[in-house]
Amino acid sequence: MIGTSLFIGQQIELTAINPEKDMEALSAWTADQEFVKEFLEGDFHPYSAAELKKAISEKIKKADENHGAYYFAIRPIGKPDVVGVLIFGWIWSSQQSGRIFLFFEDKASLEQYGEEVLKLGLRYAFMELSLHRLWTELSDHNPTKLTIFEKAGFLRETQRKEALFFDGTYYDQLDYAMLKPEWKKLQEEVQNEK
Amino acid sequence: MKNDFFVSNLVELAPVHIDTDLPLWEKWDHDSDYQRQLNIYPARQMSAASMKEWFEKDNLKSALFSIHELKESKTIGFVELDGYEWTARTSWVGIAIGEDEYRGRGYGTDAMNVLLKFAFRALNMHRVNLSVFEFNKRAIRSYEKCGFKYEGTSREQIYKEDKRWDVYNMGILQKDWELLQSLEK
Repeated sequence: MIGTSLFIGQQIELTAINPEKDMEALSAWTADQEFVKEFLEGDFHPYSAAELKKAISEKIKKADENHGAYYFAIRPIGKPDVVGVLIFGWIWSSQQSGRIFLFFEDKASLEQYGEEVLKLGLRYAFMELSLHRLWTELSDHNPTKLTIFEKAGFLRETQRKEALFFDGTYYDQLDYAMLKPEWKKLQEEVQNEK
Repeated sequence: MKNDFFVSNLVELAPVHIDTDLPLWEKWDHDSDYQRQLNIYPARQMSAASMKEWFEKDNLKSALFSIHELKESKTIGFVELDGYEWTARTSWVGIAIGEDEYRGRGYGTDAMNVLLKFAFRALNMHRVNLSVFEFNKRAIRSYEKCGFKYEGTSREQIYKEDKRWDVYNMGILQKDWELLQSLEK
């Protein structure tokens, strides 16, 4: 073993998405425009469990073939319930860059588990995918998520004016990123505090 | 009367002619600097025949044009609007002038303006995005002339020649582009 587990945290663990068992739960999330846009990369409408199974199976199969994305279901340790998903996409190996997408079923889960999942996610991105740059797209439409990414150390890089439209309102798209040296520096700071 | 929607002072945007344009693309791609300014992927060599296969197989969800200079009706580059997102009505533009003697002379800027007219007045886009690499100064000047505004930097997004380079992100809104047009009249 070359380190502590990449997948097991304090409260939650990163596991496989199960296209047989998880689709009923995930189907409910498709009422959320952000989930459909980012996860399915498709047109926004609620998806049935059957539609979702087809779409997700195809995505997982493609990711397995081209190593362009990595999917995780977030579950409380030892429980079958899926409370969120963590996805690494847009993996450009030659440039050592990739994108992180995090989604939770509700605000309470985001608040309870968000910080911990990001901690695992950052370690996975920099120490396993060996990325140099990890980026994400956020907005003021979800301020809780924005705060969690900022607290984790992501820096705002780009503000794309009126690039997003949620619930009848335009929002600026806020692009954030963290570079591996920045992450390593944060780890050292944590170590020094101990 | 000929419809001149895609015609401007110096150029016309025309559909890509597979048999005559793709060999030009292969020629342009042989210049590695050209490819390194165009996109993030490792520069490669692809034959016109393979490109043709890809064209005929791929159902393009984008608007791809050849740029014709008007005097000799010669293909000098291409411009593409893609990545349509129909909720916020946004899309991405990419442009390249492959023929060296037409670079830095306003042809690209002219072609970009026709494409923006297409995006905003035909497709009714709300905004158009682009990314440009920090070492491509000529392109940045051209985009600014068209009205694109700098919106931020993707730090160290490019890794080439054992160095990390920044990518600049720019954008233009429909209302701002229309305002520019009314001022220039």
